[in-house]
Amino acid sequence: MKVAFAIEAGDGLNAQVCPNFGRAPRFLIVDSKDNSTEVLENKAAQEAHGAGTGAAAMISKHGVQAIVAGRFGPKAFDALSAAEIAMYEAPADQTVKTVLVQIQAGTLKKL
Amino acid sequence: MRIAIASGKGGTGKTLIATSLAVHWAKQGKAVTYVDADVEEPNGHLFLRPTFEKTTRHTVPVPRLAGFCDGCAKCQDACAFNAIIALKERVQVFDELCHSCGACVNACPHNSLKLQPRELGDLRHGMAKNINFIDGLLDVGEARATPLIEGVVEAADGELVIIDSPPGASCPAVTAIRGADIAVLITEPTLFGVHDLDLAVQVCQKLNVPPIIVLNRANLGGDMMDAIKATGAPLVAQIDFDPQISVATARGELAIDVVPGFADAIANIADAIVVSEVVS
Amino acid sequence: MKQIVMLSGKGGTGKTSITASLARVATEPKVIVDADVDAANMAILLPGDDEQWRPFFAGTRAVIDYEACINCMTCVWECPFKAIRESKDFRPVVDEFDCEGCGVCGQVCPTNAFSFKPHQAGTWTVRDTKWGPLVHAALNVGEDNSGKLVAQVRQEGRAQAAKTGADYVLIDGPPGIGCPVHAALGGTDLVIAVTEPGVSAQHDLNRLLDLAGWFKIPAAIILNKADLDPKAAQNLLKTAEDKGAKVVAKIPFMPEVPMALSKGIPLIEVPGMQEILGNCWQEIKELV
Ligand code: SF4
Ligand code: SF4
Repeated sequence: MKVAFAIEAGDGLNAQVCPNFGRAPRFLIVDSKDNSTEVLENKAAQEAHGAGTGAAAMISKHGVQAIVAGRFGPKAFDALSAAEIAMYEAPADQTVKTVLVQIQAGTLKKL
Repeated sequence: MRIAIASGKGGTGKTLIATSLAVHWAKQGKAVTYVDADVEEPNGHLFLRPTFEKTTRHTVPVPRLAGFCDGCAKCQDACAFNAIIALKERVQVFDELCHSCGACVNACPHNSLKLQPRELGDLRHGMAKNINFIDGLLDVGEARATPLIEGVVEAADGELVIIDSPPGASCPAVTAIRGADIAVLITEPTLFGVHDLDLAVQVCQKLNVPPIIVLNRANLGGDMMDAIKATGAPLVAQIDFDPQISVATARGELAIDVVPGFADAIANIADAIVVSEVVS
Repeated sequence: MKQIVMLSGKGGTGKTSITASLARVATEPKVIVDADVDAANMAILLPGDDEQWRPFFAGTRAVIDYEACINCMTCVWECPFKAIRESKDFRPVVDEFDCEGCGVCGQVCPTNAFSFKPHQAGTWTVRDTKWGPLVHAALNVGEDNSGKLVAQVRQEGRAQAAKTGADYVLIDGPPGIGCPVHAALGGTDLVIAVTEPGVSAQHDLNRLLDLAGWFKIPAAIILNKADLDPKAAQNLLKTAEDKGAKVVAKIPFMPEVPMALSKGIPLIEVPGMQEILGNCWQEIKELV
């Protein structure tokens, strides 16, 4: 399974979850098979309007099944639901690693 | 002649003056059209009390899928406003974000997107005595006012068109003032009033519409003459605060009909508009 | 650090004056953020010295490369905003004021003469005031507030709070309920809706409280001009109760208020206001 994380900075599993989905500076995509990672700069964060839908569009192109952020705006929620990407809200100061474990263990609830 | 009545800030007496001017010119036997372009909160009808003869639903085009879609996302890439996203075999459009530009339609390799009308609100035509009356009424909860404003402004033609513009200096005000021959900016002698007046003057300059200023409630508040002068637009008339005007307005009456002396003040403004128009 | 955002839906409810007054009565170290850039009046109410203004970019504008342009005028016909016009010397010219950066001209141009450059939509800065740093922005005329600008001033607000050790960030939010409001709400600790009796205010309040619910942020209400229309006020209070929003202040209509505001006198210098708003601030602090 490929999971995307909204992150503030960094590029590894120790990066911290960003409170915002749409205006997160970048995304970290983790493939849970081998924990390999890929960084995606969030160009939509620089848009005047529609950062949430823009980011959702970008994420959906990358074939991820789930996305983690501190929270999702209403439009981003609609876009991600339509794209059938599972959303998880996680506290902003947690690392990608901790959240990933919770998702795999099924202890973090889907939105 | 098209006259935009505008103000940088709400509550300065814009509608009072716009409706009064309409009545004034109508009394002189001129063919006047009054347009209420403040579609989010139109209240010109409360004073002119028109009988509406025709109401149409105003629409704005938005893309809809009308054919084959393989989720190639060319439309999504073409949209500068993040208003359309491609899913597996369909697209989702976020109407509120869409600017109706059609870039997505052009970009679709299967020619499957069509622009289709989406309703925004009512466009109403009527007569108020011998004044031609047009206004727009944005649907409750609708976020896009600008296309409806464009609609009401375009619906008006005639010798003398008075456009009661929405307040502010952003898109809605710009849309209403654009294309006018002159803009009458109503302000009041307060810090906010003059700050926002300056912005309204800048809008007019950008649009090449010559602005003139009317100072309302001139006897209340402070001395703002220097600040008004600094905007670079001429002050052509002043109206003093008169409680009778407020009382009449609160009752939905036309102050020009019931308050002694107010008709003269309006006549002065009307003359100033005509003179300024000739000069520019 | 607690972030509190003041919202009102439609304008004219007294939100900005009340926010500025709360900034004056609150003695704790704080940062004030003016995200209501459609009526950026906070700077008039809170005097001080501004740092250097910084540019704010949003969207793009079309630029024509005249080396490549063959003057075919296709773009002039196709621009949906009529922003490209033929000049006296028969060239297409982009009007930067009307261009929305949609990119249609780039699609239709046969010689690829178009590029799109970032558009400066305004400026922003930080002001040193007696009541704490004020982050505020000035949009160019004809521009609308955007989620990006709100995000930018809020980010600077948080940075200022971290730098100065402030306990509170007080945000004067944008009007409406759209994109900029979403950006203003996300991640705050309390939403305060400043409302007044009336049909459209009632409607806006509903939407604002629903939005706060969506973001799982507690909400509170300041009811302004509460006594003007007791029945409508009752309806507002009912809405507040149904949606679990606490009423932190009821401000009666006082004729002295518009008078004071028109003379540029701060709200809290109107007799009685100091107490009302002082209590209001205490209640707010308890909520966050
Ligand atoms: S019409 Fe323009 S703004 Fe609307 S979805 Fe298509 S490309 Fe985007
Ligand atoms: S980007 Fe769009 S609005 Fe701007 S000039 Fe090109 S076609 Fe017109």
